[in-house]
Amino acid sequence: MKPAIEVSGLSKSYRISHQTEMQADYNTLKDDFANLIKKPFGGGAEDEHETFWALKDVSFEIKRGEAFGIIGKNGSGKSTLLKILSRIVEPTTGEVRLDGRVASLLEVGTGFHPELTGRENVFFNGSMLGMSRQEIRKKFNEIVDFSGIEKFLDTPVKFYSSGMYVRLAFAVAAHLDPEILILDEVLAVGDAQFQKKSLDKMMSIAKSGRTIVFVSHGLDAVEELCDRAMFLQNGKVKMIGESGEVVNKYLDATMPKQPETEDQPKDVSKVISNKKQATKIPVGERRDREGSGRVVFSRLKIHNDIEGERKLKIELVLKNKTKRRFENHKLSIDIFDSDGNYVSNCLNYTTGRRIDLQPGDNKIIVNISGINFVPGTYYINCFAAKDFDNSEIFDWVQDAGSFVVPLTDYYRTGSTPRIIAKFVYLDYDYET
Amino acid sequence: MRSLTNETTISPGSQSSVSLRELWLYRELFYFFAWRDIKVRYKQTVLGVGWAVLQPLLAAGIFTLFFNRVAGINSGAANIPYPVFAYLGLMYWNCFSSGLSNISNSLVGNQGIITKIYFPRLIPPLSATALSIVDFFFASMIFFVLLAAFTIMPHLLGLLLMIPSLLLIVVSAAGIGIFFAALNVKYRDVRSALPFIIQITFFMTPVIYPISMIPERFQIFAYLNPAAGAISSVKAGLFDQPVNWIGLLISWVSAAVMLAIGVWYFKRTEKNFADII
Repeated sequence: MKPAIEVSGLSKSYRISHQTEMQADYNTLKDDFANLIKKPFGGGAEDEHETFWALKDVSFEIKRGEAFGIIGKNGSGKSTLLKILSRIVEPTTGEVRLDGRVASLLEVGTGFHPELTGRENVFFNGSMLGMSRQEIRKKFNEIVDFSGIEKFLDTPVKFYSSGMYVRLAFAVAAHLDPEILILDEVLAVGDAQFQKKSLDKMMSIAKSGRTIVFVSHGLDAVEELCDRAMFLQNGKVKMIGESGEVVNKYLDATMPKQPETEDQPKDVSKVISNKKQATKIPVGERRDREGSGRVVFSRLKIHNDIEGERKLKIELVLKNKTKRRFENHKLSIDIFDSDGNYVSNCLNYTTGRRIDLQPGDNKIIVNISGINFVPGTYYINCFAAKDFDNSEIFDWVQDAGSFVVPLTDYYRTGSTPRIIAKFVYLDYDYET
Repeated sequence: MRSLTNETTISPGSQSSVSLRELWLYRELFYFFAWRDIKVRYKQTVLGVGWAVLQPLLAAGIFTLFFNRVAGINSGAANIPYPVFAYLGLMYWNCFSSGLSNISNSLVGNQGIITKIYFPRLIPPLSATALSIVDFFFASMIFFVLLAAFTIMPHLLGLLLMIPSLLLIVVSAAGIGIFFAALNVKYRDVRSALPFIIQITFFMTPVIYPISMIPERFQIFAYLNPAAGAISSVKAGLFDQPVNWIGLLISWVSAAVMLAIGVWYFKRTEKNFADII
C-alpha cells in the first residue's frame, strides 16, 4: 500500500540579515531603495545576508493509519516542517506527497474573532479548517456538547475566559474528519480535566485508522499517542524509529549531566571573575544554561537585608513556556561561597512545600531568615526540574545572582567580631 | 472535508498558477470571510448599516456647501441639482476607496490565519470587496429617495448602467487592491501611503465635478482611471447626457489590465507571504 505521506529531500532555507541589530520581519521601501543605491547592479544585498537552513534534506515516510510524532528542541525545524506539510510555506527544495484529505491544526482557535459569538466562530473556524457548512451544521450539537459551554453560545468570545475559549476552539478542531491530521502541540490546552478529555479524543482519532502527524514538547504525549517518531536536530533527521526509543534518544541527547558530576575548574581567581561577570547578566538573558527550556527562570531579584534583620528575600519568576500545568515540581536555590564551597541549599521538597507551575509566569518568593554566614560574596545557582528524580531538568543557571554579607556587629557588642573561622557565625553563649 | 483531489504534491513552485477550480472549491470560505467582515464591521455600532448611508450623505452636504455654494463648482447641467450629483459620485467613489483600502489591508489584517492555515491566498482580498458592495446597495437606496425629493426622473440608460459601473469600480479596486495587498505583506509603507494615494485620486476623478471641467483633449486620458469612466457614464446616462462610450471602453480595458497586473504580482509573491508577513 502507498504511504500516506512521503517526504523526500525536503529543505527550507531562510535568509537572515546582519544589517541591523533589531531586524524587523519586513523591509520598508526605504531599506530596499537604500540597498539599491548602495549597490545598484544587484547582488549587493547578498553580502549582508546569511543563509539559514531551517530544514536540511529531510526524508521520511508515514504509513496509512499511523500516528507519527516529531520531537526536537526549539528551532530544530519542527514547526517549519509542519508548515510545509500544511502548505502554508513552500519548501526550497524537495517534495512532499500527501495521499488523502488533509486537515492541519497548528494552533487552537485560528481565526476566532473576538467580536463574533461562540456560535458564529464555530462556523467561521470550522470553515477555515476545511469543513463545509453542511458538515458544521450536522456536527454543531456534538461540538457544543463537547465544549460544554452551551450557555454562552451567543456571547461574543471576547467575553469568554481563556479556558472557555480554548474548549470551544478545541471542540471544533476535534470534530474534523480528515484522512490525514497534522497537529502541533494542541493537546496542551485547558485544565487537567479537559486535557484528559482532549487526549482521549485524540487517542480515539488515532485508533480510528487516520494518519496523524504530531509535533510536541510533551514527550509523554508523544510516547502515548504515537507509534513511531522522528527526532529532529538543527533541521536534520537525527533518528526515526519506535516512539519510545526515539524519546529516550532525545532525552540522552538534550539533558544535562547531574550537577555533582561537573568537574571544577582549576584557576580560582579566574573563576571568581567569571562568576562576577555572569551575575551581571539578567537571568532571563543568560545563554549558558542547561535543561529542556520548557520552564525557565526569567527573573531573579535579591533583596538583601542581612545587615539589618539578617534576612534575604529572593524573588523568582519561573516562566512556563508550555500550555500545561506542572504539579509539584522541584525548585532548588543553591548557595556557594566565592571559593566554590557548596554552603547550603533551599529545596522546596525539604520543607514539604509543593509548587505547581501554571502556564506563563509564576512568581515565587524564597525567604531566608537568620543568615549567619561570615562576610563575603555568595553566589546562587537556580535549578528547576519536573520532579524529585530530575527526570526532566527544566532549567539550571549557575551563578544566576549574588549577594554580599557585610561585616556587621553580629553579636551586638558594639564592635564587629574578629573573623577567624571560614563559614558561619554560631549563636552561642558562655555560662559561668 | 474540502479537498481538490485525494493526492497533493508539495514542491517548490507548486502553487504559482491561478487555479479557478481551487477557488471554486473554497467558495464557502469566500462567503465566510465576507460574512465575518460584514458582521464585525457593524457590531458595537449604534447606527450600524446607517453609516453606509450617512457617510456619502454628509460628504455630499459638505461638498455642496463648500464646492458648490462657496467655490461655485456645479454639476455641469442646469437640470441636475448639485447635491444629487455629488451624492451619486460619492456613492460610487466610497465603494472604490473603501474597497481599495479593505483589499489592500486584507492580508496583513488576516496575518494570524495566513501563518497557520492553508487556503488560496486570493480569498481574503476577493472577499474584502463584499463589504463595499453591501454598503453601496444601502447607499443607493437613499439615492433614489434623493431623486424623488428633487423630483428628478432618471433615464433608463443610466439605470441600466448602474450595475455595470459598480462592476467596473469593483474590478479596478480589486486590481489595484490585490497588488497593494501583496506589496503590503513586504512593505508596510503601503498602509501609510494608501490614504494619501486615495485622497489624490479623489480629486483627479470627476466625483464632485463634471468630467466636462477637464479640457477636452485631456479627457481621453482621464478615462484611463476606471473610476472616472464608471462615474461619468452613470451620471451621463441617468441625467440624459451623451455617454462617452470610447472613454468607457478605455476605462474597462484599463481596469482589466490593472486586475491582470495585480493578480500576476500577487501570484508571483504569494509563496513567501507566510514567511515574511
